[in-house]
Amino acid sequence: MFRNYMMTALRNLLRYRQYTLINIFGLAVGLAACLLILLYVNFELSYDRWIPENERVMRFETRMYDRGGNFTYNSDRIPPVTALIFAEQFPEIELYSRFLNQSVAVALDGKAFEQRVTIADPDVFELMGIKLIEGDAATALSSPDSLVLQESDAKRLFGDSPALGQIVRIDGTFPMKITGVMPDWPVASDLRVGALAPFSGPIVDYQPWVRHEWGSFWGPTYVRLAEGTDPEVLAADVNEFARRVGPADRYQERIDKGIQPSYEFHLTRAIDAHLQGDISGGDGRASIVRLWAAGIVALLILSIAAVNVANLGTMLAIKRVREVAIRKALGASGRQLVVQLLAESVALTLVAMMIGIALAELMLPMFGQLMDRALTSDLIYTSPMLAGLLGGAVIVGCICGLYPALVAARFRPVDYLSGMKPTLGVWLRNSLVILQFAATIGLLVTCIVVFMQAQFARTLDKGFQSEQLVAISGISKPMILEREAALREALARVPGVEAVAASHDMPDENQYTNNSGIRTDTGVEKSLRRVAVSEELLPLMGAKLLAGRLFSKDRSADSGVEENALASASVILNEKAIKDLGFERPEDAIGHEIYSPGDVRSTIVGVIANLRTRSARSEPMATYYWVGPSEYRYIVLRVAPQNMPQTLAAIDRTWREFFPELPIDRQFADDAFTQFYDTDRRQGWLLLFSGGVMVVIAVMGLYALAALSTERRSREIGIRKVLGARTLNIVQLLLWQFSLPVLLANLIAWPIAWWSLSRWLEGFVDRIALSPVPFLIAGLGVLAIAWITIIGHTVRVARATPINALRYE
Amino acid sequence: MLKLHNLSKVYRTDEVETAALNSVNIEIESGEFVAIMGPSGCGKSTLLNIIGMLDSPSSGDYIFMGENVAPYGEAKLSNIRKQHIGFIFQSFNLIDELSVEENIELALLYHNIPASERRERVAHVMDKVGIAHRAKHMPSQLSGGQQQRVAVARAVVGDQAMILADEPTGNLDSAHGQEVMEMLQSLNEEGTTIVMVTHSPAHADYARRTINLFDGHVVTENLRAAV
Repeated sequence: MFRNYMMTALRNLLRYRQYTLINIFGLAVGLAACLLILLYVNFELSYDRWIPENERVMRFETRMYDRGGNFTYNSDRIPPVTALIFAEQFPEIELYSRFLNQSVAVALDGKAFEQRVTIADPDVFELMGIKLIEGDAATALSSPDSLVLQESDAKRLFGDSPALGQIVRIDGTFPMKITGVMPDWPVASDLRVGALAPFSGPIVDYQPWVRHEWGSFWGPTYVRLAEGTDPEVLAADVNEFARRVGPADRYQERIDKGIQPSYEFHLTRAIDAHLQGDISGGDGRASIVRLWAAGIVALLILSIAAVNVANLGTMLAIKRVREVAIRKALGASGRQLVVQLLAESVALTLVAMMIGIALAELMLPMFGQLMDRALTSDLIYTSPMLAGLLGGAVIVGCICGLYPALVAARFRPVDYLSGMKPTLGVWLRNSLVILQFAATIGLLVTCIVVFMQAQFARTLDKGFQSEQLVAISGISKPMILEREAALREALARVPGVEAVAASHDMPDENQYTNNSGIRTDTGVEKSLRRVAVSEELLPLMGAKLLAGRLFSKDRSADSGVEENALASASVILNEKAIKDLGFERPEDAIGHEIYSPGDVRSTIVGVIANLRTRSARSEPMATYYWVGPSEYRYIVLRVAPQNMPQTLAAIDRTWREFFPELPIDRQFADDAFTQFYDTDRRQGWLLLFSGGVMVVIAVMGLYALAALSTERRSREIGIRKVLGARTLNIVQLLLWQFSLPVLLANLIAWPIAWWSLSRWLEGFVDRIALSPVPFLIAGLGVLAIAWITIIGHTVRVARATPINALRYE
Repeated sequence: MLKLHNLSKVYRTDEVETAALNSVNIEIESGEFVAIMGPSGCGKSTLLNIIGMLDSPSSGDYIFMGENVAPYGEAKLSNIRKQHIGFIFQSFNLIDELSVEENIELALLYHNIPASERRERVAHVMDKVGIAHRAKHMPSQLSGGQQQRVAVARAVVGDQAMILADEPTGNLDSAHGQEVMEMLQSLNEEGTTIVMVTHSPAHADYARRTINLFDGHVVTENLRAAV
């Protein structure tokens, strides 16, 4: 009996091998795509789960409020100085470590290497569960000059010779001693960690204010809470304490007025930190919403592949009614037939599953690169996953096989013998095809809009010319800052360099924000962003002057800065600031005075259009520009487009003459902008990948359905031809039949896609307007692909001589 | 009406050549009623298909209304076919998804005839074959005889000069079979040329002339004495 089943099953599969291949391959591709997306989702979810006791490990965060007490944004950091105080004050904080990143040059035997250093606290090893490969965790960060390297960095710097105990020179200025080697920091971490150095060390002197400033928010702080601590209660206690002892912000005054203080601390679990989409500066992060969306897309892909199997299965079962009728006539029960057809379908899905896993393995490296994640397939081979896959294959096989099996089992042999042909399931099949294409079209529309928005954001009017703009960062380090003016003069002499300036703000992954509370002579109080620039910067960037004038070297008054002041005698404001300060037109602000902290008086001499140095997700900030060399972070150059490589090499040479032990860190402004949209780019690629897979699967299914259904209609086609229909008439007839589901699918896909894309676009301050164009492109594109796929087959059928179809009925 | 001269049809597979028709010479006058008889596999259907321009001969000439159509391609044949030739099949070959009148109308659909005229002509032939009361029914709701009447209506709705009938009574009981034969006879009396393949000597008697085929040859031609 079983052998007989096997033989018929096998022969059937071979007889209809085209459909068998489409079935298996479609399901395998769908499964592979689904697995890849799930691996990505799993990877994102696994962030920081390796931290021991991670239920109790929290990141200290800050909610920011404006002067009216309205929530503005959530920051992933707190002032470093507070961490120390809180840890002392609250026994609930068992362990804590701050993480401040700094890029330094490590010099060894006259060679300089760039190295990311993370300034951390001694608890870091226990808090994060890091076991040193060499050195003693208890003392590794106790001396100010200690440095703990990651394994790969140690290899990069020292090769195979031992690193422990070696002395290196940092930024050509001070020595540090390697006191430990730790394993490489896990990739699945929201923290980007380099070599570890203590807070007591000299690198912290680059930004000395982090040691004592309550108003200075730098780097994340992680803590482990004692068992049984309620994070919300602790956060409330911390806030209460901070308001009592914290010097900043005139807390009491605001509380007395019933206004929310300007910031409020809270705790987020470390394992959730990566998935917070709403955090400021979180462009590299995933958001749980996106992961959900990715998961849903994965299931959609799998289900449209399953729909194919079910649809084709039903069609093939109908082709097999003869076998079924004969088996039934010979005494097979309906149950036996159901078992037979189900077993066939499950066998098919199991084969597809194995091919799917192999495909996923094959595509994983490429997919990982696309998604910018170090994905591994280990997850597939864990026993719960394998069990899930096996169980899933059996379930999908049963679902796909059940319907055809029931159709076949219910079919009465006598009907077949009397010449009736079962037409069961046509309605269901058509609905499933419509849903398949609706999902495909919806995803493609999304894909197009995401790319359009990304393109729009890239080409957005930034308020300045970003082309050929090169920024050299790291200027704020004391040893560079003191020679910065001389360096600029030297760089200005390099052939190909058209202009040189210095600035606090450039497009960069590090988003430095300094704020000053200011008051105007008209009595308005606001907090403005403070950006220090040299006189040449605004003309160099091509900033658009709206009123007044830009800074000028010829007016020495412009650059006059009092001791410790945070504004020069002249300031320039951007459009947003003018609006916030209540001036109607830019011209109205010219000549007015503003008072910055310390009652420093400055005159507004110019107003410029907003300079957008950040992602289109964030609104330009109300800003004042001042001539403030103490806060320069970048040297900005405009280079001629000709002989670019030579110019860049000459810039590097000039830098080396000044700082032989410090590698230059320079970047084109346009490259930085591209990085802002990395997450969107990843999202776009994921969508494109999924959309592509879905189109392939859906169109394969349509092709098979078209082939089988034209076969069913061959008699009708024959009759029409005998009656004088031309090939063209027949092709039109068949194309229309298969265009209808695609057209109906648009009606389902468009409103849903329109709604969800409008919501997504709302997340951007500057966004494209939704137009029908992407919807038409996706709809017509899918229709065109469907046509191209089936037209060959259709023409072949339409041209066949009608006799055969008519005679052998 | 038509003339076949030295007409042969050879089917080739990889290994075997089968001559279905071998140097057949037949002439059929306009307004004739011809029956083609012979055992299974003698080439009756091949002959009918070639006469109906559904198939092309391997060699020889086929003069249809003064034109040698043997070398014509599919498009040209299709044009001549739809203007002059109607078909009736043993298995009726109605389209299950279309109603009686839609099935009949189908024959006019590819003729560039305006919809109002199509409706008129369909109504007219339905009356003629006595199926008008079933106009909105689907083929599956009709008896075999009724279905064949629809097929006859479809074959003549375009004013075709010639009807080719491939065992039109093969699937019908004797009463219904006779009904269809009478209908064909009255069409013939109105001037339509009819060529019919049949196994039934009784039904062949309706024809004025019977051509007997055997192994691809015309063996005898009998003229009915009564006429």
